[in-house]
Amino acid sequence: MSIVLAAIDDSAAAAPVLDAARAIGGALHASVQAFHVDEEGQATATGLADRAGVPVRVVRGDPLAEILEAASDPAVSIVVVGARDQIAGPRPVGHIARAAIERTGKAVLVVPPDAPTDSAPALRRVLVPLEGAQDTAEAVAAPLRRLSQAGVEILALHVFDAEHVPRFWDQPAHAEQGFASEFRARWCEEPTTPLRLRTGSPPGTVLDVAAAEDVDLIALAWSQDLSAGRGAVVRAALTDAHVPVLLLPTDPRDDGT
Amino acid sequence: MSRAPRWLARTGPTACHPPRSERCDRGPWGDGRLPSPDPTAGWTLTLSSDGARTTTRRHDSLTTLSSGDLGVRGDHEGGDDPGRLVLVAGAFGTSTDGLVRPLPGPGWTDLGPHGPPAGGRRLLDMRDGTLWREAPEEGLRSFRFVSLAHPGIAVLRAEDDRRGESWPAALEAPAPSPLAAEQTFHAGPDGEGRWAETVGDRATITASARQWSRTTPDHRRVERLAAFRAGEGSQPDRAAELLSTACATGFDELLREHRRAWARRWAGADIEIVGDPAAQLAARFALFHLLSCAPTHGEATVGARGLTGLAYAGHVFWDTDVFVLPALAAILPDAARAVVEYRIRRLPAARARAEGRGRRGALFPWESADTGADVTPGSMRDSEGNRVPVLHGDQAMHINADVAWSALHYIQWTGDAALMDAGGGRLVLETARHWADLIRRDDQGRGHIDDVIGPDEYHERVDDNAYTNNMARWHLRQAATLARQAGDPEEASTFEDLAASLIDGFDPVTGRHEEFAGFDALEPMLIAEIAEPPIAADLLLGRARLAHTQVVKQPDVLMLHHLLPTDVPPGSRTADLDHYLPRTAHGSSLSPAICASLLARSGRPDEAMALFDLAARMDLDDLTGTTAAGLHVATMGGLWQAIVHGFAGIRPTADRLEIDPHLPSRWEALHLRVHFRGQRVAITIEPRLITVDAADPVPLVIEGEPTWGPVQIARTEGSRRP
Repeated sequence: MSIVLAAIDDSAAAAPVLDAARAIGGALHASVQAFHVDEEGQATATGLADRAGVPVRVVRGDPLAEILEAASDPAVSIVVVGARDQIAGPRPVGHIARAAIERTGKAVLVVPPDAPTDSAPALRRVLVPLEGAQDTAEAVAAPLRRLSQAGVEILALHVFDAEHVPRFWDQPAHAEQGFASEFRARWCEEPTTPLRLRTGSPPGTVLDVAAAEDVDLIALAWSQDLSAGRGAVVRAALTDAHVPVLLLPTDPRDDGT
Repeated sequence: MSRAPRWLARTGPTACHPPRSERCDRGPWGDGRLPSPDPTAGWTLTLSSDGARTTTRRHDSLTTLSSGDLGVRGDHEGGDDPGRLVLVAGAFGTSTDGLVRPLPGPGWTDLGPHGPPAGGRRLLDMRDGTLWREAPEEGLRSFRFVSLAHPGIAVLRAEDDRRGESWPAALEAPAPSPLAAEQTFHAGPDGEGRWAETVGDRATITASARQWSRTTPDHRRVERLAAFRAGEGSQPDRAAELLSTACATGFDELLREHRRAWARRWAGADIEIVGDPAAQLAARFALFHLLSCAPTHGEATVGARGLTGLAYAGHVFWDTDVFVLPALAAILPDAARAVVEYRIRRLPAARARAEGRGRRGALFPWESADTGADVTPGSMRDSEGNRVPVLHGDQAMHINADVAWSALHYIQWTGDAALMDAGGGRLVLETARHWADLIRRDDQGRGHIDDVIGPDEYHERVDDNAYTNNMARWHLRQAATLARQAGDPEEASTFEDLAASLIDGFDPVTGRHEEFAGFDALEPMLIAEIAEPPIAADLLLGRARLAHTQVVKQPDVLMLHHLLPTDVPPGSRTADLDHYLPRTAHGSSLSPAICASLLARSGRPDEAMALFDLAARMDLDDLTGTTAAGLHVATMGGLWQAIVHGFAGIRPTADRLEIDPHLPSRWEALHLRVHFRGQRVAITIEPRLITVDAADPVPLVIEGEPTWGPVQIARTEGSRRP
């Protein structure tokens, strides 16, 4: 059985991290394990884990190094980290979370501190933005298939921006159906996957649709590159999303999924 | 649930006839060898694929074989190909979303094994309408055709290396698709053969099939014949009868007859472009699908994608009347007649529609299917995800004039004046009566047509759209002539008076037309300020924003110059081209070819080539991203028009064939064939020479000079070719 590893700190932000891990672990029939690097205490972390019924391993050392070490276990399929430890407004993801998502080759679920918590967390609906490219479609295929098989509703999104708007759009009512049908056939595992077509700036539109559709999670394929000019949608999701963001590398390493 | 054909329901020993398919008791079918492919340059489309989803279904569309009655996509025989599709013209049903959509027929090409389609190579031989396929991973080679000589018959031969396995049943359920009508599937044995049917709420497609197989030390072979019939109910006897005839004819003779039929079609339609192989292939590809998109008898329901796919729900738009028919009238007149017949038979529905709107006359719907009722979707989602109403059904009035134009244009090419007594006259008159009822006269007696959508669909609810008004004016004048001939001078006068009153949008000061009342006051945006065309500007900017600009979707005023070149003020074409072309987004796949044609006719053929190439590659390069759902048949018709009306400058008039060429520098020569007034005419255009060949005298106007063909004429000094 694969492992969903929830890296929790000793703050209130640990609660949504644990809940997100339990939700996705439940959907994927994976065991959930908590992992805490004790720097300034462990009471909150261990207490939360105990109450949630999640086994917790406490270690000492450099937090990032220890998280990466723990994530390297072949049995670990998803690493769950908090985006940052403070809720106060949109802020870039914290340095540990950023380093974790850039350096581990695994799927990483980044959980904002204001993500909903639940005593019985479950995934209902996942938003999958797709740009219409082979590598990103392949990166999300297997995880989403497993979520779909577990009864989670998958909602795909494609955003037309200046770079991706079609050249021709004959009769809009039919063009939308035809385009959507073809897009699903090319890039979605299931030809019946609901697809939303929107126009706008992809980063902002992804967040708008996530809110409008009341999703529990946003799943993004990405190249693990947040350098200037790259990863705009990932960057925006990590900064501004109020739901967990599942990052699926297009070039996974030691991928246990 | 399997349901036996009705004829088996009879009881009593004398009533149990042997299945008709068992009459296929012909002798040995030879060695079942596959004919060899003939990859002649310019006649063959060769497609290679690795089996990826992005290419498989697109190739299925490109290699569709059709007789105009029956269409079969070029699917993979091995593997589960979701693009597998059989369509029969005119067979529709209601889908789960409430829309009227094509009813898919039983599949007949499954040869197993099942799994993802593998890669391979396909050769579409456009000269004789055959498809050869090789799939090395499956060890499968196949050959198929959809008979032109025996409409409704499809033939397949295949061989592979999997000895010892049985071939799948000859008929199967269609691949599921959300774009197809809902249907139930029934199948069962029919003697040595098999029957099957797909049953929708408006039609049933019945198929009868038989296959023979043979195993040799090296391979196994199969031959499969399938017959398809469609109608309101099950037709197992008719399908079996059709199959029986095909069986008795045999593969070799079926193929010979099919090839002869294609040879006859090409003899009256081919286009040869010397010096431009890419354009040559594109032209023949377009011709191939045009020549097989409509039957040559009865009526032709030619949807936006023909019989090549399910996109656009198989609905009939103005695409058929003004983009496809002009080509068919010249290259396959009987098919053009069938297109007009479709409209004639739906005149009662158009009459009812006008009456339902409180108007006189007849009003054709923007989108039409089997019954002629309006099947335009009522709503759609905009780019922000909001559901908004589709206004075309109420406002795209120009369809009435397009239908009338189409019928009269058919007569200009064919001279078939008998059409007027066979419903054509009523078609023109009754649709004109709707204009007469619709036109509003102001205090000064000027005529207005309010609240419409013209060809430029970026601007809705406009008044006095120049295209609509000018087409209506032309239409009323044609109807006036008919009314006078019918002995009704009063109605004729009414039509003429209304025609003369209509605002036409022409400004003698600027020398051009205003697209609709108030267009010139909109934000003067050029398309280059937004993006490089072609571009779906409505998706990029949003419809609300776009409606306040002068960006247009496709030729609107320019369409007027294309369809009624002698009914517009002299010199206005250049002014309108220079004004509207920079404002045209070409967001419609119909747009590039028409603009190319106008540029060519305006003495700018080299400038036309970029747009010509767009039209030429529309499906070959999948420029819309939707070729997998069906080919753009109207774009192909537009491409033909760009070549013939644009570069060759060929146009039929009331009594002559006009030829006024403007060849692009890429083309060393242009050879083409058309049917004019019942005879084949071959025309060759070279830089310094125009040659017209025909069996009988043909009245011509070449570069403005009346003459008679056959003839060879030196082109005028300072020849039009740059």
